[in-house]
Parts: sequence; C-alpha cells; structure tokens
Amino acid sequence: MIRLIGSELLRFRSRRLVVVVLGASLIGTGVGVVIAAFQSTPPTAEALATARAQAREEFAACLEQDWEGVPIEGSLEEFCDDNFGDPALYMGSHLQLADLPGILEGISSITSIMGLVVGASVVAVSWQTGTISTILTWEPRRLRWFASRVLVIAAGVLVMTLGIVAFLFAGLAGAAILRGSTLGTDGAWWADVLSTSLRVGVAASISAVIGAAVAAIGRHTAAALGVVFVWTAVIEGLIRGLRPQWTPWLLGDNLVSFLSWQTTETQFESFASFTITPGRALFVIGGYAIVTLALGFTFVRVRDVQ
Amino acid sequence: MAAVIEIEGLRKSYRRFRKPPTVALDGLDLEVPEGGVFGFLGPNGAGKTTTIRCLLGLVAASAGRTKVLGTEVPGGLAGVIRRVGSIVEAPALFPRFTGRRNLEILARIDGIASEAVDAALDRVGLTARAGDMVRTYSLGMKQRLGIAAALLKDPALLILDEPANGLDPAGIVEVRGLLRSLGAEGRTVFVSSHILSEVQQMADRVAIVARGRLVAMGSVHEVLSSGRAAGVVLRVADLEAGRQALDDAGIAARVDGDVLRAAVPPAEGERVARALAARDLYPSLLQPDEGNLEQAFLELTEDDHEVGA
Repeated sequence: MIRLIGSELLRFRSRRLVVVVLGASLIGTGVGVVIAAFQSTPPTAEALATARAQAREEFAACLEQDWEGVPIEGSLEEFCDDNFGDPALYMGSHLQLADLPGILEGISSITSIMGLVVGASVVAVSWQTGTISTILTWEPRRLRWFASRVLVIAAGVLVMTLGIVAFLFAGLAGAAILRGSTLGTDGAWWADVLSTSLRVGVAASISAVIGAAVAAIGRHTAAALGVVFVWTAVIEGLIRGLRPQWTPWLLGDNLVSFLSWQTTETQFESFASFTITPGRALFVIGGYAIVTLALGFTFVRVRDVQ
Repeated sequence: MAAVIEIEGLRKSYRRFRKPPTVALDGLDLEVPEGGVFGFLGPNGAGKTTTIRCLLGLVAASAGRTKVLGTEVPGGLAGVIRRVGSIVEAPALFPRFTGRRNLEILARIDGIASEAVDAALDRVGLTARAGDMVRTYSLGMKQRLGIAAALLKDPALLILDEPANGLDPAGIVEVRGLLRSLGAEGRTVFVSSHILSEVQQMADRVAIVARGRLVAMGSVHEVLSSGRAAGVVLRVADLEAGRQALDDAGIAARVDGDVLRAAVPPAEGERVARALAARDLYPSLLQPDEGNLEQAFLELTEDDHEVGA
C-alpha cells in the first residue's frame, strides 16, 4: 500500500494541472498582496498614538456605560476590549494583518473550487487517457488503488492549500509591516489564524475528495464538475426556496458555518428556525464526502474497464 | 507442459438498452502452454481484446472460468499480476509525462529499482528519447514504451494485444525479434494480432477465434493444414501449358501468380509430375500446398461477422 501511495504521489505531483493550479494560485495571491500593499496608506506614528488614545477612551467609556438589557458574554472588560479597545478600529484605511482570518475565509471558496477541480481531474484523467487499464494491470485490487489515489488527492490538496495560505500570510505580513499595521496580532489572533487556515485546508481537501468520487462515477472531469456545480448552485438553491426546512442538510450552508466556525441560526417561517453549529456542519460535510466516496468506490469496483 | 492460461467456457455479453445483449465471447475454451510465443488470431470483433481484458481482470466475465499461471482470475489475480506483463490495445500511458516518468510511476507500484527502468528503456531502444513527453512519440515509439512497461516486471507471462500496431517495417522486425527472444528465454508470450504473417513468423502455436468461439488451435503447421483442401503447388516455365496438361490428365489446377495450384493430395505429386513430363514440361518447384496462415484464417473464419469488441 505504501508503494502504491508513493506511485500515486509521484503521479500527482507530476500532473501539469496541479503545477498550473498551484502556480496560478500563488501568482494570484502575490498580485493581490501587491495591490493591497499599494492601496494601503501607511499609518504614521502620530495616527497610531491617536488611535491608541481613542481606544483607551472608548474602552473606559464602555466600562462606564449602563449595559443593562444587553446580553453580554463573559466579563464587561472582555466585552469592552473586544468591541472598543482595539486601536485598529480608529485608524484610517490601511492594510491590517489582524484582518487575515477574514481574508482566509474569503479565499476559501477559491481554494475549495481548486480542490474540486484537482480532485476530479486527477481521477477522471485515468479514464480519459485510458491509463486505468495500465494501472489495473499493475494493481488489480481496485478499492486499494482508489483508496490510495483519494488519500493522495486529499493530502495533496491540503498541502497545496496550506502552502497558498502560508504564502498569503507571508506576503500580507511583509506588506503590513511595510505599509500597514500589525496591531491586534496577539496570541488569540494567532490561534484564530491557525484554526482558520486548517479549516480552509480541510474544506478544500473535502471538496477534492467529493470531486474525485464524482469523477469516479462519471469518468470525466467536466461531467464531474458540472454535477457538483449543478448540485450546489441550482439544486441547493431550489431546496432553499422550496423546502427551507431541509437547508441544515445542504452542503453550502454547512460549509459556511464550518469555515466561519460560528453557529448560524436562520428563521425560515414565523414559527420555525434551524441552527447549524460548526461541529454539526463538519459532520454533514463529512457525510457528503463519505456518501459520494461510497458511490465512487462502488462504481470503480463494479464497472468494466474498456 | 503446464498451461499458463486456461480458459473454459468463457462468456461475456454486454447489456444494451432496449436491444438484445451483444455477445463478445460465446463459450471460449483456450489453453496456452508454458514457454514460447502463442499467437491469438481472429477478425475484428471476434473477442480477442475482450478475452485479454477478462484475463487481466479489467472486464468481468458473464460466465466461465479463467486461470492465469495456475491461479483463478479475477479472484486470485493480485497474487500473480507481479509475474504478468501486458499491453491492452494501444499502450495507455500519460501523454504529458516523459517516457521515463511513466515507467517510474509503474515501477514504484512494485518497488522496482530505477535500474530496471533504464534496462527496459534500453531493451526497446528508447533511451535517447526517455526524457521526452510521450505525446511527442510516434505510435511505434509508444508501442515500444508499452512493451518496456510490460517488461519492467520481468514477467513469466507477457500478454500483448496487437504489439506491432503502428510500427514501421524495421520496428516490426525488431519487435518480432524481441518477442521471439523473450519466448526463447522460457517466458510465455501471448500475442493477439491481425497481422497474420507476423504471427506465422514468430509463433510456435496459434489459436483462431471467431464470433467469440475458438475455431482452431494447435501448432502453426496444424492450423495451416486444417480447414483447407490439401493440394500441391508447382512452377513450370509455361504456366498455361502446365494448367492445360494437368486438366487433360483430370487434375484441376489454376494459375495463381507465378505458380500453379493443383487440387490433388500431396501424396499424388508423382501423378502431377508425369502429366507435365508427358507434355515436355518439367517443374522447377513441386511441393505440398500449405498456403499461409492468412488463407487458413480466412477459410476458418469464413462467414464470420462482427459481434463484439
């Protein structure tokens, strides 16, 4: 199995699509960082001092204010610090490294699509080029082969995504140091960045697995991509409109909740609402991956290779 | 001599929507002995490639039993695949990878050393182009790379589907020599081909299939003499005068190119010689008319029509 995974890994990193997608992502990220850096007005020491002073004032005012009737989680100090104590809130438009978690969530749709394309292509290409015949005359245990390939795809896309995130982080950190601010990048921020990065990577990886599984059924990259896009963009949209009570089971809504790691609550009728917690979202997304994989496995095992 | 391939009552049919199923194999029986080159012949659609796909577990048979190297397949295929090299139809390789990278990927599955990749490339004469993308290869080069991939495992059994496809005459001669030498090394080379003259020149034994069934099997000589009338072939200076002389002697004969073919058992060759000598005609060639594999093939598969893959 290890040798099979080694072979699949060599095939994966030799794929031109993988190189092109990774290269394009890095170039796009680099261009974005450069544009953000040029559009940022570097905060002066004076503006920074003013913002800090204002943050202190607002924080003090917050502590003095009567918050009765307002639900506050944790202590009043924590609440005021979170909402009024950040100097970055009082500075002009400039690149703030503290915004990175939000930016990462923003790029997650792109990395998930990247994962989907890579996953679908790496599986479907074997049928499209006919190399599946060659592979299976070296490893006739089809499930073993498919499991190896899916494993390599999932791991490969995770590494690619984390590489893109690391590149974005390095670029933004450099740009923020030179032309923006690094205020607010404390321990909690680091934890947020790391967990968001991991979630973005996992989401891309799961998208790749779903793409791979659907491609194993359709045996064609474009068909697999078409099916996934029709499902997420059309069918899920129809379900939201016609059967809103089913929404907690939709891939898109669960992905949003998982990536933001926040509980979403939606009222869909005057008397009914649903809640998606991040843990539940991960469970549902994982369920989609497992069901499509099971279908993909079945098709790979049962169908003739012509 | 042990059989390396045993096929018994192999049947494969493909279901079709609102149409009767297509029968590709209709109870095929076949036994391939160990060692040497075995030719597997048949017209298009006779079921050659389907048979090979069944042997390699790519296609599930509808009925019947198949054994490769003494092991039931597809169930036990994983246990013997390490000793089986194969090409199914055109060699399927990644066009955007180099020839070497294609072989390296396969070699890694079995933990085969990179020296074996170099040796395989060298054996098929592709060392100089090993670093080029496969899509830049000619069809002949792709075939040779496919053979190199099949040889990587140092297999006891080679299953090759039309290995001479797309090769130029020099390439055909080269591949013929290669397959002969592999057969002479004690390996079994199972070759399907429609280039009958090629098979005739390199195979020790042949099988002919038509409509998914075996119609003849044996040594090349046995198959050549089956399914066709015995006769003699002869050459005289004046072919028309020779034909007339035989006709007058009650022997049916016809001019075929630069020879005469007489419908008389080879044992009665003396009768032919006497009839010619009576007219002052002396044959420079007089031998049993074995014809060639192509004639035997056509006669054995006469009235055949395409029924499957």
